[in-house]
Amino acid sequence: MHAEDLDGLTITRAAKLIRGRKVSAVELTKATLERTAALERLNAFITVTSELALAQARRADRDLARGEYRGPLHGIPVSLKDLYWTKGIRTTAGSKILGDFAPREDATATARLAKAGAVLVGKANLHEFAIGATTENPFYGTCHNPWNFDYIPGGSSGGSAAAVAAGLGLASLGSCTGGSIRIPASFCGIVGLKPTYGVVPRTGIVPNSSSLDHGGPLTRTAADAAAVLEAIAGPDGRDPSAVTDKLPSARTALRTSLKGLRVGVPANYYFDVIDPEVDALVRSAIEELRRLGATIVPVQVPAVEHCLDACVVVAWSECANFHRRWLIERPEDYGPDTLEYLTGALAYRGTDYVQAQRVRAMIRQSFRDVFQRVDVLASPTGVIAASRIGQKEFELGRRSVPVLSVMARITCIANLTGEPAVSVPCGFTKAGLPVGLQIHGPKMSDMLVLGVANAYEQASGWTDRMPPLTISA
Amino acid sequence: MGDEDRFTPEAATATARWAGLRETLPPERLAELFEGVEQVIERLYAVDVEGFEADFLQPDTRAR
Repeated sequence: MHAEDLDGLTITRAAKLIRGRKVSAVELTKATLERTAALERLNAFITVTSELALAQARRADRDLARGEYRGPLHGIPVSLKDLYWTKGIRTTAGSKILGDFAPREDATATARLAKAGAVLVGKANLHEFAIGATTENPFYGTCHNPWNFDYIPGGSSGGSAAAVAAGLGLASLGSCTGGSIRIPASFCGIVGLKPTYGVVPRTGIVPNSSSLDHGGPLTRTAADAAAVLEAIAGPDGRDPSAVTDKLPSARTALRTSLKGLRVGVPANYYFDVIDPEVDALVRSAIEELRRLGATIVPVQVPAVEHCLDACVVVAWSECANFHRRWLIERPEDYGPDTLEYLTGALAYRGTDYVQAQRVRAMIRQSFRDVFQRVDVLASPTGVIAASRIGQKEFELGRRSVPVLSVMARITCIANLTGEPAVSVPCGFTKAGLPVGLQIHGPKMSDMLVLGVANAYEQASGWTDRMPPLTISA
Repeated sequence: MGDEDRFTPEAATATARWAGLRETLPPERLAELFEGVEQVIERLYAVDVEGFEADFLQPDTRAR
């Protein structure tokens, strides 16, 4: 197996090859590392963990030879956003401040991936401390979008998305406070799931905002995301916000039929400010859901227009709380945009935070009511495709809109409500940039939203496309 | 927000010091940042949240 053989490979297909002894975990890992070296210019990784990867792959092959098969992630190369703790391996969070931080233990999710037999090939680039959505990192360099190197991959889990889209590992774990899994998944043409709040323990994930942070998978397909979610979900006894309810199996996701499923399409807010190309692609995807048997239901979503403001105050207040000491003692060690965000955040008062949480409670009630009428909501993931590296504003209609404020406009909603939402590719702009369809469901419907995404991608075939990359040594 | 209510660079510097920050950003930029913060806060206080409380003592650890 060689680097170019990884084009279009998924966990589902690779697992069959490994289990059937057609390919060894070592062969797959070597090919992935070869491809990673050939695409170093993508800047998807902060640290490549070659030695660990080969050791884990050898162990996976030995276990399989003894008849010990650990499941669909056995021998599968994966990466982690570089804010998941990895024992003895530096975990920078994309920052200078944690530039030499080598944790004493693995994050819960890191350990669970290893237990499932996965092979860690690298720690992925990200926006500094996950505070931002472009992955233009002042300390580790800008990560590029594999579909066009002049564009950002989104963020903050930009390295994770770029790696998976480029075939540098078959899955990556990202984290999401306001859209940091779905935005880069959408911009890079892959699947990204923000699970129900608390389904994936946050233990050992460098925090951004404790009540909004979620860990979750980025993969090429929804079926792959279901397999990864199954491996990392469940309480660990250490994260007090971990949910105790159990998710249905990943197999459930693959059996989802859209016949009779009530798919809500928001009549307010979601499509109000949107790039026309994105609008057309998403509406076409919704028509595809109808052709697959879903009942499309237009719905009004009260209070949704307050989401971005509530998210900003909650997120920045909690984030500034975590960073306060460093901000006071070593402000010069932050990148310019992060320093500005956090400085502004220190001006929020306790009363403002409580007001934002009350607005959030109202929004959560609004969505509980909506999900009495529909099973899931379908919408754009982002209202724009990827922006150019360095671009600060985006032309929408006759308005010039700041790129950062528009990116999380829709994704932040499910962070506030704690409900699951997945981004699945639904086409490409004329410039060849991917666009994502978001499927958002009620709490604990993670496998349902993945099932809808799976049914859509099976019918549409968008996930089979690979970025136009030249793999050269 | 009227002009008389806008954050002045002096007020912004005082606010930053109150928050414990060193002078890392120019006062004019600080004023822009804090003014943006004020605008978000004003919009949030305009929302009628009667009957809704932050449920800090009800950790949402089960699907409801």
